[in-house]
Amino acid sequence: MDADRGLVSDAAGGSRKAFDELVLRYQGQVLNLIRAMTAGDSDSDDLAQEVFLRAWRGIARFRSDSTFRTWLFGIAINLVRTHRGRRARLRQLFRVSPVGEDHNSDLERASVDDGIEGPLAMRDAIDRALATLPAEMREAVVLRDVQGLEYLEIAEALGVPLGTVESRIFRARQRLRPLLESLRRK
Amino acid sequence: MTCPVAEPLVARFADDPASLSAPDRAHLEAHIGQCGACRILIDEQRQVAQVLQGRPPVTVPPGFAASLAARLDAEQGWVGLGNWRRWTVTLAPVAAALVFVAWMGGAARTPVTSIPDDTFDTWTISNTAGEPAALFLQSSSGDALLEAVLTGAAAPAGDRDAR
Repeated sequence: MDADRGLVSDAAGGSRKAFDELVLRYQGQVLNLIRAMTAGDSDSDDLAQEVFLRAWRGIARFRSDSTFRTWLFGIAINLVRTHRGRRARLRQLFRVSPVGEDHNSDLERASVDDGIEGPLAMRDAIDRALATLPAEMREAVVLRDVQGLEYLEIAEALGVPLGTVESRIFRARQRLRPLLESLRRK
Repeated sequence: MTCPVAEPLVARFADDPASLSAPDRAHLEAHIGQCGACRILIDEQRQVAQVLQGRPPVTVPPGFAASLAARLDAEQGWVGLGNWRRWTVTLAPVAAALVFVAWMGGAARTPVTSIPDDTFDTWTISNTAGEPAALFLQSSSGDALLEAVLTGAAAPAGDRDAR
């Protein structure tokens, strides 16, 4: 049972008040997801707002086959993919060295066991480790371990079979293990 | 069950063994009972998941909701432009006013079919045979004069049947 059903129904009927309530419920989770997916990209707040704008535009077409949260996260994932593609094209155009996709340098930085103090530094270290993963692995493991979605919900949000989700999460965690070793010891 | 077959199930088993189907769970438990490598994998999966679950959540920056509300307000305006029902209701009085103005303007511009004789004066100059050679018109109003010519109220010289 989707706890948001009443609000979603009202918002689909045009109620801004109901939609604002949904924003309050999910703004933290959406922002958290975007930041984890983009390694704290400077555009992450703007992207998070864009998620809600798209949700508002499309909420009349929302079908309750999935939960509102799963649907919202699906929008966020698609938006991040588009953003990443745009960034990659810009980097290619200006020949800028990619930040967060240079695996070697990020591996080194993420495994350095210095200066990891306090929640902010810990989050930053985790996000940098996540940034070393291929996008499809990052999406799956973030939805599972950072956002706490069930495997079936992840399959719905990503539009892939359950077995693919299991495999991606398994491989993502294996890749992250040496990078997060220093954090685990703390 | 072999390690490659077991591996895709390891992540879910590490999170919650009960989430696997009964046959999958039974096969995997039988496998890890005799495979030390897979037991290590399960531990590693749990360790990584634990670190990720401990990632401090992002705090929503002040002004985020207000800024989003402003964008949603603007969005509502634009969405409204595509809503024909809203257009119909909003613009109905404007359309009625335009129809009224058009009707009033049309009435004011209805052509005058007969010009009262006192709006302009005429006199003619005749030739030696006594036939009209030229017609002169004079009026205090240029409009009345023009309308008299255009509507044929003042017949040209020589047109005996016009007036």
